Amino acid sequence: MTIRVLGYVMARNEWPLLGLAITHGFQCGLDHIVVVDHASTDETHSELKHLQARWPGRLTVIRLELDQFLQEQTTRVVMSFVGANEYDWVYVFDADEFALTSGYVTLVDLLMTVTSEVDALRYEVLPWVSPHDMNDLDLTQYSRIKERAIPCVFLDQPATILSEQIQNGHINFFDLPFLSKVIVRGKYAHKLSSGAHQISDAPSNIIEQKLQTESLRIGHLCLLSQRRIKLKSAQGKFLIDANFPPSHGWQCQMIYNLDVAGQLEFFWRNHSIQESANQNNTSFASTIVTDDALYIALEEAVKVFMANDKLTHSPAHNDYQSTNQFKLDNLVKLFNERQLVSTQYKNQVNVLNTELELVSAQYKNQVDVLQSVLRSNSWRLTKPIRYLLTKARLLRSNQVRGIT
Amino acid sequence: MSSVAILSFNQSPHPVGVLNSAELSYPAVHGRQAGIVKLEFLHQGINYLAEPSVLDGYLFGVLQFVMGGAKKLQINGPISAQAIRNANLLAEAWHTWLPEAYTPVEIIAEKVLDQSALAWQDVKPNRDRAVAAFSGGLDSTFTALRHTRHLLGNASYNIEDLVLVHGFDVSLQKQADFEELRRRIEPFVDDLGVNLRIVKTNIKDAIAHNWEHVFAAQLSCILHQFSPDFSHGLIASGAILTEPDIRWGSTPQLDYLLSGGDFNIVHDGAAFSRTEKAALIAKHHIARRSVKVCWQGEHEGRNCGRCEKCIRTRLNFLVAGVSNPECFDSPFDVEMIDQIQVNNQPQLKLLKVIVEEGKRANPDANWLVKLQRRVETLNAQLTSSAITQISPLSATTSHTPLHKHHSVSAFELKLKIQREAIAHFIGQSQPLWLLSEMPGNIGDHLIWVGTERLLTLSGLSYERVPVHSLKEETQARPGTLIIPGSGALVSLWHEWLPDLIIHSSSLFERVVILPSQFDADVPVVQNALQRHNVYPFARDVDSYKKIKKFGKAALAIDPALWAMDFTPAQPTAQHNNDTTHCKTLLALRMDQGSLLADHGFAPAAGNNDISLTCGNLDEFIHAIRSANIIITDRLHVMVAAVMLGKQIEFVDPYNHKISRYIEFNFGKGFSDQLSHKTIEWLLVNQYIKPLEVIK
Repeated sequence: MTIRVLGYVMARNEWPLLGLAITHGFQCGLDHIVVVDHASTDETHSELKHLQARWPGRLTVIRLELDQFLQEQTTRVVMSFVGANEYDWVYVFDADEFALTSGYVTLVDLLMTVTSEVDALRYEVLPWVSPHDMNDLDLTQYSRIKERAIPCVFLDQPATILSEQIQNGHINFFDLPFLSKVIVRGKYAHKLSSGAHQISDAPSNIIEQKLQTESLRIGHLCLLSQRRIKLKSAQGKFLIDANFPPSHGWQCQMIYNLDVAGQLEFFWRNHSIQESANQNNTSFASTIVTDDALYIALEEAVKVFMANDKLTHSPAHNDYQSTNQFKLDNLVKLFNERQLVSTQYKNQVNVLNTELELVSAQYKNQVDVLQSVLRSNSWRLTKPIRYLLTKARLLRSNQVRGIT
Repeated sequence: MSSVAILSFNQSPHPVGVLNSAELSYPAVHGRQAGIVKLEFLHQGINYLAEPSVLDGYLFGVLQFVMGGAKKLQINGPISAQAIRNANLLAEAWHTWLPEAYTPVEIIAEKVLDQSALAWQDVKPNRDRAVAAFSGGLDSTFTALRHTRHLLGNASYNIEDLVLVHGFDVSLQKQADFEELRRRIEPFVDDLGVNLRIVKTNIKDAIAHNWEHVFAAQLSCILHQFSPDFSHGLIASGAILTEPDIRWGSTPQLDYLLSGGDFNIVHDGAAFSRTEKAALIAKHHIARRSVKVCWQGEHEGRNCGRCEKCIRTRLNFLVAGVSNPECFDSPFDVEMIDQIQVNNQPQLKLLKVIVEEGKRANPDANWLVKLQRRVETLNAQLTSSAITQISPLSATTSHTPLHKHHSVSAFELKLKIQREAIAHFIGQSQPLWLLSEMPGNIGDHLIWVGTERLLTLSGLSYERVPVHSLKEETQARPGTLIIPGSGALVSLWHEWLPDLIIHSSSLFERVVILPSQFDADVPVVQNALQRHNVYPFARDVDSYKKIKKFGKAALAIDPALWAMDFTPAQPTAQHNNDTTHCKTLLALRMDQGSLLADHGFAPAAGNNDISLTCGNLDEFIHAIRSANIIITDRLHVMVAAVMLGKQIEFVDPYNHKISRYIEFNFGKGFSDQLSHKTIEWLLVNQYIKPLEVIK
């Protein structure tokens, strides 16, 4: 039996990491990958064309020019657009995420073993830590990433509190566990929440299976290099300037605050590994363990990816973007507006439901009162009198009408 | 300039009744210039009212007013010895709470009558007659109903008359509104078979400098005027015994002090919530119609139905099973809940009580979820707008705070967020078992009280498990064992707790150690923290960094900080070096946690290590509250002192314990109260002496 698995990734200025992630996705056995290039200004736009030539017919590139970051809306529109529901499974990933399976089992091999009643698979996202002098633009350096952080914080606190604790140096960013994510059946792809953490509006009977980290885990390069942290800082500035709440993209906002306070180097020192130190690194402020799994996966992806440079760009694979890009922008906008309107309607429906409940309760009260009267002793005791009165009224009525 | 206030009494006939009047000559008080005021009490609809044998009531009526600046209160007339003694106690209480507003006065009278002298004058036809103040509200209706219906059997007061005052809830200018109120309550009064007495007075307008402080005293002033015919005057309680309302004009604790030698004031009904009172009233069809609770509406004689108090009372009735009591002109609408606005924590607490009562009475009620959401919203609004709260440890509170430190409100918000997060985590695996009867000094009691309050505030129910019984326990239990924060997991002290944690981890699904201090180098502590189901919270960053290698750790605020609400910092001019004019508490450790002995020093004479010497937490708190400046190396003495708004000079004991605690728990907040000192500083200021000198 074969299954078809669709990959989906949305990115902005993530090259070359995005190329590695896509390459790794195909190595995992993904049948097709859809990339949404969200108005990147680096090499992403041009380099994706090269990658399309390397994976002919299997890589769809969609350019999105919207200023807003409407991740969930875009995902839902694109999933409908590309017919995601025709795939057996849909795997949504970020450019800094790499699916790691055990042994020689690929992600698709793993998905083939899942029984048909399962609708979603939940997996853990684990952070790897980079060397302090990591240059993410140099693909040969990815083989240096061999340390995994061990999150320890079990208390779920608001992002604002966590951000404050990290900025004060009380806790390390790597102490915090990342939210787990889901791989879903194709029919649920258009219902994925932002970040693929869950299926929104999921029916109550949905079956979710949790995967052990031995079977599948995601290697996450959330703080890959100083250069990329600077990019996060810029994103944080954008969010703050646009008046997003502190919880929205809190990590980027926190990094921007650290940047403004001149603390970014200090932060990076506490979130990267100083190779000059001994093996038992004492400068690193979080708990780490050596784990080669990501390094092995990346090494394979780098080999294949670097081979892409030898291929030439084929314009034939880019027709999708040129003909459809303008539609996508409009669709995402429309979808966003429709969601807003839908929320308003939902609120109205909720209000009406509340009113209905109230009216029902009042009606029930009235029925209860009536029933209590009918069951009361006084009602029962006066039954003969009421019977006699009824008879008397009937008699009188008959008399009036001359009936005997 | 004279600082004597003089009170004299007069009674005269009036076209519509009898007029009792008291002339008060007063010096400058409460920011008012010296002057003379005539307090009038017109008893309407009667031809005769016996003159009181003593002027006790008038004394209570003016006491708090003259305490605002006078040194003596001279009564031109007889007064009972009991009234003077009670007035003095009352004055001491108000002075303790608000020393800047109230100063005790010496009370002198033309004649002071003791009990035997009063007995000679006693001509009451019946010694067991009671008169009750009656506003038509929920509280006084409840009191009137339960005593006139003899619901307390022999314990019922024999209420024969109810007194309705014009000039308190309904202002003197609103005669039509008062008449409307009178017509409204008359059927109820008739049904009870008692007399309605109407007293019109200007005392509130004339000398009520702070109505929330004086309303019960002024009410007692009126009730005392019936002392020739009655032995008891009832004031309906607006408080709940479980939530003592300190610095409020009427409390179950102090109202009895408004009694005199021949007339007793009774604070009635404090054991009942407003919902419980509504439940009784709901059974009385006339009372249901007559109750009037509103004071914000346009018409003072009826309920507007839409103000906070009206909606709250509607909810009281709703919980009691009556959705639309006839006292409201319009039906209840669930949308009203979203219109509730509160100004202070006491109001919010009354709403929270309704939520709890609603959950018990009808957890599926459609309005309950809405009210819960509204309470959460109001709670957040109040917390962020820094309204003071009532303290469960009877620390201090004010209904009209003069100031509130900004850092306190920000800190309260932080406390709230942390409490919700911790409660969410703890609540995931129920039932909850709280470790109790732990060994510890009095400072640890603060943590235990704070832990229980944290759980209660979060709506989590739990059962206490004493340490000694848990040690013997062998049977597995479902749910979570909660271990209050502790310092018993460090190198100096780890004799019993780590072993108990190891033992408990095999009995319970989870063991949660609330914010504590840790030394992870101690093998038995390591062993305890490595258990798969043990979840340790650290209360300082150093402890957190030490334990996170075990894979599970969280930083959270010390539970002791929930033990009571924070009092704004008290400004002390002598802060820092010159402490000679302030009362100072020297509370240095006398145990092995002290660093003094290592440096060759010991605390000087006068040191009181209150964590060891106090018999209970109340004594501990009292010792701190009585001082202006606290000098200590005890962590939880420092914590309690911060919460009580004191100035603290602290010295770190072992392991930088206090500094580390402050860094995480307080951050930059409370820096105006906290001053880090050294052992040299203690020596220079003679708070410690070299050991050989002691010898």
